[in-house]
Amino acid sequence: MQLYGASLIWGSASAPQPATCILESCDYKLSSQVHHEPDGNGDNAASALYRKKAAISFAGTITDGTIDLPDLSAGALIGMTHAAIVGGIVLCSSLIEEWGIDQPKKFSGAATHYPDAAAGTGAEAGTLDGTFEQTGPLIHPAAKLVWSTQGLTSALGTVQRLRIEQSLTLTEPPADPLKITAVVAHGYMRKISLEILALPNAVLPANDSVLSVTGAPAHAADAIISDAGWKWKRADGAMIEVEAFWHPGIAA
Amino acid sequence: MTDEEKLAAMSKALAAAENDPLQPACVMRAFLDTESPLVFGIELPQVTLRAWLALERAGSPYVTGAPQPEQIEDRVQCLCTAIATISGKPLFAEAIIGSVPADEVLEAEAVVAWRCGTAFETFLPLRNPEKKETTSKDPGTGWWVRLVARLMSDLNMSLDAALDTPISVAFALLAAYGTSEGMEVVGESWREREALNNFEQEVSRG
Repeated sequence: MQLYGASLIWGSASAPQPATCILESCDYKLSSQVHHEPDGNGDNAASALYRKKAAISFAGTITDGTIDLPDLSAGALIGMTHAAIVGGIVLCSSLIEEWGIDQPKKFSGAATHYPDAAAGTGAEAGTLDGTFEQTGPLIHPAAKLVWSTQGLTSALGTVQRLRIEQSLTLTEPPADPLKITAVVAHGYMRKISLEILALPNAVLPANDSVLSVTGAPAHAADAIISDAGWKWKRADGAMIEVEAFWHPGIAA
Repeated sequence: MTDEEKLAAMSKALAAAENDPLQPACVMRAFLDTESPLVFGIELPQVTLRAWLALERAGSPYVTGAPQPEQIEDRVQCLCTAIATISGKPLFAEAIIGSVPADEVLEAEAVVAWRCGTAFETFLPLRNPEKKETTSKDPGTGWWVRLVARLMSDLNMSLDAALDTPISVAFALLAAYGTSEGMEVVGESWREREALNNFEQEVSRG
């Protein structure tokens, strides 16, 4: 659990590095709770706008293969540059990264901008790079895209698809009736879904064992397999589906 | 081809199918019905839900899975009943027996069997990702009426419209609706199925 709203700590030296990306979508929607107070004639005489926050959703293509997405188990706070984000903090509640054979690595996520809150003692998970538009030279697969399931290997067969989903719950205790000045991030969960193309006689990975995929991000280690089975089976090959999870309560 | 080479080729074929911007071939066949064949001069359309139930009621071996009758007259009668039911055009066995060559009758049987078989080409088992259970278990009502009910409830079709919907179109629409509502595909997707079938055909051809 991380508590935001006390004293300011910004830019932890141990935080993961930024993710550089081509942004495909980024929505920012600022909203407040509103109360309209009518007068004796039934006309609205006054309005209160309070507890302001903005929902942010984003998706893109990863363009730097040497770095990981932020690790939300370290904290929900992320650095994010956007014209609408002025002051306050951005807390990330969902981050999904996905690889597939012959496809670029994609990511998507959701965050909330709290304009009236400060970081407090809550740790930073990392930064989503502010330079969302690709302004550099033409992208070359070897240099600027995480292409296909590059770098991922499994002893069982070919890694056909890998999806890592991080989620956090954000709760906003009413510390201030007018502004959201404190936010609790809790309930971190990481779910990993894997599809492996293997020979039909391959042995399924054991339930309750630690998932092993070489080349996955550092923060995807130590996940416990909760589900492993055949997606389909043919004479020449079969697709294994594996689901695993991790949270900080599980020892490394 | 070694096992490793086969896996690598299969992996690429699956990736290519996933990246294919065109619609899956079974969807094109279901909605465009580009291969509508002629049997005894009658165009044989796709099997609708109404036609399927009528064929079941008639005890047609094309839908019940029962063996074809041994007597040639009975067999032609079954064929004519199926063609008339599916096409909605009258066809009498007396007009066929003795006047149509046997190989043409056999060919017509194969076409009708193919029509009935391909009605299920777009069937896609789905499951709720939370429950991890498939919805394909029959609670005793039979699949036919559940399919009609889902066309009416999920897609707001009238009863007549649902009954006149080709079965392959109905399965395709409900698969699309289910996945758009968050259901997961169990097993091979349409694209995977087609890629794997093509791959296996290529391998068998050497």
